Amino acid sequence: MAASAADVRDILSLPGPSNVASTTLKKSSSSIAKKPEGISRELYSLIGNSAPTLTAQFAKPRLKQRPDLGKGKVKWEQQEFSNSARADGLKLKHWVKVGPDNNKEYPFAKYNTTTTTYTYSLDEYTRLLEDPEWTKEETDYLFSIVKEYGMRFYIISDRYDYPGGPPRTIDDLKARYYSICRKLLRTRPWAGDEATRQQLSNSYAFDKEREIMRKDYIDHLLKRTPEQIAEEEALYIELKRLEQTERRFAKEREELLKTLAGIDSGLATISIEDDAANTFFGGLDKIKRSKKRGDTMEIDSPISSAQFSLAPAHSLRKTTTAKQVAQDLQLCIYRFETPAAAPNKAAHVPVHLRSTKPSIPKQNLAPKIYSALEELNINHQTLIMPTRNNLQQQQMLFDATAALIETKRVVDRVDQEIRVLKARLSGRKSEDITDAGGEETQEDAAVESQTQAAEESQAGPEGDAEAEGELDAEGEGEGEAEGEGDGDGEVEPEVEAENEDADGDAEMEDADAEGENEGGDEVDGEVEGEDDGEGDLDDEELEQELEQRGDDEDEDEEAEGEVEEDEGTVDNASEAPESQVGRRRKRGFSTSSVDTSGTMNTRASVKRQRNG
Amino acid sequence: MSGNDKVRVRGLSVHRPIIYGNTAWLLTPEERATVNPDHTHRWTVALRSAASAPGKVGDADDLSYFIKRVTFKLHETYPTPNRNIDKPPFEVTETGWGEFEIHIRITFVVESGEKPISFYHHLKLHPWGPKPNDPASGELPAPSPPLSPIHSWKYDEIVFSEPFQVFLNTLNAHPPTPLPKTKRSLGPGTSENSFTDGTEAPEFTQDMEKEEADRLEAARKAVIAETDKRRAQLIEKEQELERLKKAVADAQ
Repeated sequence: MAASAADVRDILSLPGPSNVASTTLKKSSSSIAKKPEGISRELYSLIGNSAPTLTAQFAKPRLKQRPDLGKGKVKWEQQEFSNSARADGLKLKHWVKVGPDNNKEYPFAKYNTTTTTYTYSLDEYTRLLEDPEWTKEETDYLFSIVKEYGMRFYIISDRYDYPGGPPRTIDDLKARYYSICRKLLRTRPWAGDEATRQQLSNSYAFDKEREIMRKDYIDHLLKRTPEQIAEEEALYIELKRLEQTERRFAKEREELLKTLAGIDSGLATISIEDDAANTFFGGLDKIKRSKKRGDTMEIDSPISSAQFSLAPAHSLRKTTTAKQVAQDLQLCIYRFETPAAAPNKAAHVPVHLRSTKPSIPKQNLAPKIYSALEELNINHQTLIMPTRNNLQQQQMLFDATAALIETKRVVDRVDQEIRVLKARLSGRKSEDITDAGGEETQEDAAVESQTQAAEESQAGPEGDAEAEGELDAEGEGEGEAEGEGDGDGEVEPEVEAENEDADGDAEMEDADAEGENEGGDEVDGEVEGEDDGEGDLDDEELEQELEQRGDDEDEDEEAEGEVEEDEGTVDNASEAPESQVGRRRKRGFSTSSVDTSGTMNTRASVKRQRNG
Repeated sequence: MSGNDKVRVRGLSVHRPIIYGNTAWLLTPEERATVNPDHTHRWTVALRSAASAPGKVGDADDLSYFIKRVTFKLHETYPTPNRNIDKPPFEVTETGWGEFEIHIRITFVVESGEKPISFYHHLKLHPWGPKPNDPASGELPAPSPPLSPIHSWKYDEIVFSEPFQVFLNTLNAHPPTPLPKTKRSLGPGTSENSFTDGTEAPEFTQDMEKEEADRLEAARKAVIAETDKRRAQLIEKEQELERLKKAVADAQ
């Protein structure tokens, strides 16, 4: 549809060409003198004084002005610059114009973009991302290599070399990577609105089957032999010929029927068929032609024509929906997707006040969510305007909070595991200590004091009580040691009981400090399960610890019972509190608890030294 | 009602914004002389459309096209505590001295085919105390003018999901007055609403809804940021755990 100049003028509401011409004409006619008699009008208009264009042509042609490049020479200088995109702070030199803005940022630094790469926690992996084809290690490897090569998958697939893993094609890698990204995106709470999330999710869309098919197809296309191409050509021509014959036949038949019966019955089907065939073959034809012409795209290619024809229809639909939306808004109508299954009478939601169907978080999570929100200073109280939108927002808030709680829970569990492992490590280390403090890398006060104790205990068994006294004093000096720090150098059973008390307190405080350590029982259970089949010592340790933890959270009586039971294995068991101290120190929890158990801890280690 | 009208319109729900609550005034001595000497306040409990008529709290629209009756169940000490109001305005005005829960029950028009709904409103007679977030809450609240009314209103929406076609037609014939964009002055009063300054009668506005939505969104963003932080922590810790596991394995 070629728009004429007149159309353009219409659109832009410019005056028509005739208008413009007439005004200029009028002007010129008024300015020029009357033409003399005897000369035809045409001739006069050529030679008369209304020919400024002619004179202009005789004027001396002037060359284009040389651009003024500014006076003086431009000074260039080799300068050192820092590239803010570099992490290593390497200084390079480059030539720059000497100017006032010398120390500005390296302009190319902004092109050093990085793609956002996803990371996932173990918990997320086990919940969502497991794939029988992939191990966690290999997935980790994939993510690290994707990060390293900035998602350039051709390079990635080239360098991909996971020892012991099955061979992976580029599509395998892409499929795995993108599916994980999609899953994470879908399950993690999203801060923005739904549309951007959808958009991002779409950008991670990857259909492996289709991709393979596509590549196969291209491969086949490229690998055709000349004979095959010729055959295809021949077939195509044959098709054209058949099509034409059929059309001609249909036309003849139509004419025949018209002349014979004078009716147009029975023609519709044929014409429709013809149409369909026409468009199909026509489309094919066009594709063919465009292919033949090489890369020049035809204006009336099926795609562009489709766009032309679709565009108005699409916009039309959009406007109607927009109108409907406005109307719905006015009438307070909300349209929702009806569930696929035909809803029966019972499923009907009776009339209700919006606020009475609030988005209550899941029953078991509700208190946790409320307390978490309180912690974050978020007022979760009843809505002032319980509109649908606000209720949805509230629901999303609760969902996000639930995710937060879940994450916290996992963090705590991992913390616990780390503590257990550290306990085991340090336990082993303290066994191995021969020359005290020599290769000790940990800066924990607990460990230091422990080694100190070891040194002192080496002086002889008599010095024990003294050593303990000293250490305890030290512990108290550090600050808020609890009342437990006093009874030093007493008989062992008592010390043991005290230990338990002290640890109990410490644990209580610990729990308080954390404030959110729910699910601890469960965690403990898992840890215990994991550690089955370990050495005696480890089991002892763990059990002791687990019991302590569990008791502190639940009831104390049980703790005492357990302690008594454990008296026989005092020395092994006493390692648990010690290691806990170490852990707590590491995590920087409340000092009072650290100190209290610090004292008893030294005692414990001293004891062990004595025994060993 | 033709058979066609009895069909529920699937996949849509219609709501009507309402407010319910009460307004209360302190009685003047002259008025007190005319009523029960114990009574100190005159109050009006009402159910109204959410958008405000000029000079009033709510009541821009007549709700009788979908509400057949509103029953206010007052305290038993009142004569005929069940007050059935079949015509707008759906309100009860009484005098009294104490606050109590008023049971409100809405019966809908027959063609809606819906059961009545009921809810409570706590009758509010006394001024609202200082706001908890008020920085100057340590001081005594400025005594409200003795005759300025106390307002206690709640916004809510009555949701009809999948209504009958005939009822939907009725509803569509009466679009509710949209809430004003911003608050207009409705006259003096103290109100519960935290968005108002407490000296004017409350009005529910689109801005308030927006503000609340924004607040919730901000909260959600905060929570998500916190989650992201925790997750980063978690991943770090897991790596540490991994290292430790290796260390333990090496040690064995």
